[in-house]
Amino acid sequence: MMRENLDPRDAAREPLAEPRAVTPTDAIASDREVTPPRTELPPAVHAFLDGDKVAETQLSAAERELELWKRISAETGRRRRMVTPAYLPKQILSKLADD
Amino acid sequence: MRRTGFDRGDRWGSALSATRWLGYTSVVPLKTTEPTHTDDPLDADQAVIDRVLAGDRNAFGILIERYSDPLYRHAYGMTGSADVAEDILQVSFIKAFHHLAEVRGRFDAWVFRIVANGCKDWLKNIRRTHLSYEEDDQPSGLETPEEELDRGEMRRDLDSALQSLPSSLREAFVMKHVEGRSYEEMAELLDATVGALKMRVHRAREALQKLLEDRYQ
Repeated sequence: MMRENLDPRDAAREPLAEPRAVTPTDAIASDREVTPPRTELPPAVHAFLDGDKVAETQLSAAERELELWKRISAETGRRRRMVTPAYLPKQILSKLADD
Repeated sequence: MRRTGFDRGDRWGSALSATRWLGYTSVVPLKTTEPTHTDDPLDADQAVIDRVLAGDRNAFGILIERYSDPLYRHAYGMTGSADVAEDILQVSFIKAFHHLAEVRGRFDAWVFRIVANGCKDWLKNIRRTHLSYEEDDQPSGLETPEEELDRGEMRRDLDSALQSLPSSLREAFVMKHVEGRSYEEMAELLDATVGALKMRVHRAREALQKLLEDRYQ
């Protein structure tokens, strides 16, 4: 079975930037779980995205939203085909052997 | 006429339905490197665990091969970095190996929790400053230049939008839309109710809608 390797490191790339040290503000921000601003989506769109059966007429009323979600779904679909880098399992086993 | 999700008939649909099957972890193992004597993945995993605990260290590779892909996708989705995802997977599997005797029930759910906690710990301590997806923006030859450009933009924008979500919403969105898990499976893995997880996914969608609609609608 062919599986697309979407590991971005297979392409030429620039080095990753060093992550900066975490600040107390960052830690608080990541833990706070503030609900971000939202645009309410029609229930039919949620149902459709959840894989539930939705009448065509309900969806036609949400064409604009669906167009965006079609594009997002294309991207998440690509991400879902990512596979573990081939060398990683061997690398883990070799680390275990070193223990 | 009724339609269900982007998994019926169109180009998005074929990718989603196929990978939903491939990405599933709890009932059908992703891949096996050797034949097993049972169709029950729980028993199959336990047989491998028994071999490892009896001293066959290499047998642990079967478990890595079987479950690393969905775990890698989860770590990547949560951190947005291939390097970090790799590190988290490595540390998690090594930790799993050293605590293998403590597995009770499903190995895949147990090791998922180790990886998920690793992601949350990383998110608590490090703020990502680089979008590693940028390196994959080279034209593949499979799409028109316009589609390539569009794909790169969506990739960056979605990554950026996901990073702005609280980790619980991001986790739920990634599990649902990137890993293709059912709400029931998510509930089992996260020890939460289906209703609560639906709420998180819906909130995540609406936050993403807010963040991306101006640019893409």
